[in-house]
Amino acid sequence: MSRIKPWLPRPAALQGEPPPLSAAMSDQGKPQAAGDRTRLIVERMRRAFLLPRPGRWLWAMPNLALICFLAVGVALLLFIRHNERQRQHDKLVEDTLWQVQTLRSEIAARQNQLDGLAHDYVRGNLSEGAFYERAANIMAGSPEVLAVAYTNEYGDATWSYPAQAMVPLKLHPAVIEPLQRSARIGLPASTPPFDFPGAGQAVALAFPAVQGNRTLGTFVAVVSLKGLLRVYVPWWIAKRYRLGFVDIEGETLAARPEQPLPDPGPLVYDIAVDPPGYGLKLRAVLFQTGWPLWQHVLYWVLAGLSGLMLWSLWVLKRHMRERLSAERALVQEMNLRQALEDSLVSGVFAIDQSGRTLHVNRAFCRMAGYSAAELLGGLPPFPYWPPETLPQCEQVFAAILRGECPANGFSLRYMRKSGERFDVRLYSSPLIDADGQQTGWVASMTDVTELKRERVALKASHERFVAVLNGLDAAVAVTDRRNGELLLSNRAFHEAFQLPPAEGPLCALPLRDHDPDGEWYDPILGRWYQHHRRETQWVDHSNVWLDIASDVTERKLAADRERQQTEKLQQTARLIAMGEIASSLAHELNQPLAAISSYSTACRNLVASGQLSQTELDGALQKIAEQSRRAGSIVRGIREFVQKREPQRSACRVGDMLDTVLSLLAAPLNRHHVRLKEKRRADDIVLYADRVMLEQVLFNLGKNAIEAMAEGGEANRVLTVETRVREDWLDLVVADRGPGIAPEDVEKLFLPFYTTKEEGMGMGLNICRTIVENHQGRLSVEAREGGGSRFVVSLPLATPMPLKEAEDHAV
Amino acid sequence: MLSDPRIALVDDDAAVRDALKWLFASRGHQVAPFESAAALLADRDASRFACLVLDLRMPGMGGMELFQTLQSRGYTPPTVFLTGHGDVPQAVAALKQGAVDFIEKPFDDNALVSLVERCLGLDQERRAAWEHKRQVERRLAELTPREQEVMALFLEGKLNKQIADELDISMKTVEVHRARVLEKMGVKSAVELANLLNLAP
Repeated sequence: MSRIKPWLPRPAALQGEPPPLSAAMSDQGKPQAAGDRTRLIVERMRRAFLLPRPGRWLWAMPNLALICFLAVGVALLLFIRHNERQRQHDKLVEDTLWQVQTLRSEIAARQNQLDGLAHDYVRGNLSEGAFYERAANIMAGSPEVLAVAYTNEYGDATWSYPAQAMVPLKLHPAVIEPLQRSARIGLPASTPPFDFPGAGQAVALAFPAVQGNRTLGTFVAVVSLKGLLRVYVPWWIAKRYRLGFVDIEGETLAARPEQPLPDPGPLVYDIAVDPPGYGLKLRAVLFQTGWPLWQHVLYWVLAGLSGLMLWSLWVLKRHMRERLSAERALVQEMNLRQALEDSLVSGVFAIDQSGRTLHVNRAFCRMAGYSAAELLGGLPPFPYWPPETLPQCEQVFAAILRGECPANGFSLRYMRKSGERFDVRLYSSPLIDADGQQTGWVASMTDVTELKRERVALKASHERFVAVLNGLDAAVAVTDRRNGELLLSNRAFHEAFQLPPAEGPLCALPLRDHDPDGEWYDPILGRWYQHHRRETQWVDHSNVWLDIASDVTERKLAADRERQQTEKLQQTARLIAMGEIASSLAHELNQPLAAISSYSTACRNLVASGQLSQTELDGALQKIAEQSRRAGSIVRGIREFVQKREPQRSACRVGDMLDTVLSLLAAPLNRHHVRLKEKRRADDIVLYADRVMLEQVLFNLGKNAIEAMAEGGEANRVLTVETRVREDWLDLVVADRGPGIAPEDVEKLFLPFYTTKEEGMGMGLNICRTIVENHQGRLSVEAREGGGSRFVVSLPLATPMPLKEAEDHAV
Repeated sequence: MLSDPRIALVDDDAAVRDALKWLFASRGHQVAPFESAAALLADRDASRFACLVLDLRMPGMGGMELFQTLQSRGYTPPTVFLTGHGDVPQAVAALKQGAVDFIEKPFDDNALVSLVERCLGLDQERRAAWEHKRQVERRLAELTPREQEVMALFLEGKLNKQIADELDISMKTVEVHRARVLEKMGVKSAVELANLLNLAP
């Protein structure tokens, strides 16, 4: 594609044209309308004859040339015309002079003939007859001569030929006087023109016949002016000029042809004719023949050509204007296309049928890193084909030349000039020229490197996501809130809930009805899950549940183990503590006992040896007594220590107490999968008791009951907690479905250090009973029908409130 | 009756100390009572006693610890531990460390006195053996390294010539060394020396 020619105006510049005509028209109503109109016309002319500004200089030359040509043509015509006139004038003058000369010479010849007559007459050789003869001769030779006469010295016409000619001569005063003057001075003379009857204006030539000093007579020849013109004007003059004689006043006396002559003008020439004189002039008037034909033709041709030229110029100009506007539209179109092409991010290249590169666009150059000049005309293998994918590139190229293009285009790896590789997707289509003939192929390509990288990154990201999701031990599922469709799930989810391999939409609701954000036991596989549920928005903006269920079975088991271990440890610690207490107690007691023993042994030794004095014995016994007291005080101290654990009584509601105990029991219940059955009928009873101690008793009973059921079948694991009022007693009942207690063991049950448990101290029930008895109550146990045991804590409802404690409590 | 008590008693309980003093006195033994381990250690020399009776459980330094401290100082007289309830494992450990016996409180008092009396006899033997051992050790310490080498070789039964070859010294030198070893060790022959050393581990 060709680039914008540098001299071509840019579209923006084109918009800076003079305002359109309509705009100028709209200003016409204003006061300066006349000036405006002039300007408008000028403008219109300018627009008509001049091309718009850009082409003006281009058009000035032919315009100027045309003007010059016209001017020169006109000037030339004027010059030719002027020249012609001058020539005609010169010719007129020349011809007129020649004609006058001719006339003069003729007149002179007539005078000479008269002179001959006069000479002969003076000599006397002329008779009247001879005169007539000679006159006739003269008239025959000179048709213009109207008459020849002879007047005597008195002025009387004596002879006249023709005879009748004498009368006008005699009568005409204009004739008389010159004749007389001629006769008088004896010199030839002529008359002014006069009207000669039957022959128009004429002049008379007089020639005196002088003998010595005496004038004998005068010979007169009347010459017709008309005749002069008729006889002595040759055809070539007559053809060109109107000739005639005018008198001094300019009156036409005679003319050929017989029409009045015009007044003197450029093509009129007057020459005085003398003789006869008297202001008689020969006037030559050039026939107004107009221009010669060739000149007319020339003019018309010239005018026609000029017109043609103007017309063709106008046509040309109009054509040029059209061309210009078309060109401008083309430029705009080109600019648009260029801009479109330049703004394309797709690289475009065109090849001919042989594979030669015809065109590459800017994006292609940018992508490949080569300049257009480097690529144009190139034949495969192209420089942007990387060596490692050369066969592939060649295959694709061959496919393009065959006209094959898959719907998704070709995917290729190209190479930049810098050596950097980039991935492209290539589409090809036939290149059709203006005649509809395919001349090659056009291929557009997109740099998909980034896209590919993104895709790879996305894929990697997705794989990571899937890997992470599947790598999670927690079961993750996204389900549609409305219909429960499983939208997303991970491996752990499928494994945990043993879902079939999904082939279509699947509805899986294992977590649907469970308490979100809590622990949940799956009875099918026997696993514990920590379940979290969040309501969230799915990718399609629908509301979904996001469930995350972490298998906490191991953790729970571990926690259980840990708790058991801790309990065991605590129990061990308690054992150790008790051992230590016992040990230190033993040591404490051993000291006085050892002393007593030693004293008594010493006494016995002394008694045996007979050395024991009264005083010594007394001292020893005293010391023994002292050590006995010491032992006694140690024992008393222990008792006092035990006695210090008196119940701290306060008013407490049975319901609150039970709530606390049951909340403490929740964990063991859960751990051992024991269901709880409550029959609470005395929640609002208020006891005056040591709440912590009673809670401890109930907790111990409950815990024992749960542990008793841990070994049995799961269906039977029901812990029943019951409260009831029986007369003045409140019964707190804790019943289990454990193995029960053999009747013979019931009595041993409350003995200290009796236990059926491996880790037990055997102190629990004993302490419980002590506590209950401290509250003036009873702790009893009985076997249940259907298996299990029932422990009943019976407390008196009317617990007397000691005065002092009541006061303390009130404070 | 000896004016200088040969039995040392360490017990934190004053009644026990007094009762045992009575007890031993009833059998004709003088007892030096100490209220704590520190009190005994502060005394000029515990080894002068012929028998020690130590309570295992005492505030501060216990009997076992006291016994170990004394052992590290030098000759320790035969020792009897008094134990309370539950101290048996510690008492067994004490036996392994060289205590003569332990007796549990409350004890058969005359059995204790008899035990102590047996200790008194034991003390004489042990003290003599300990002295002998100390003497041999002292003498061995006087030997030069070369003399020790020579001694080790001739105790193996090697001849002077063999010793000379092995140590790359002259026969005469070996003989000089040998004579000096025998002299320093206070014996007349190698057989006597071997007997002497057999006593010492």
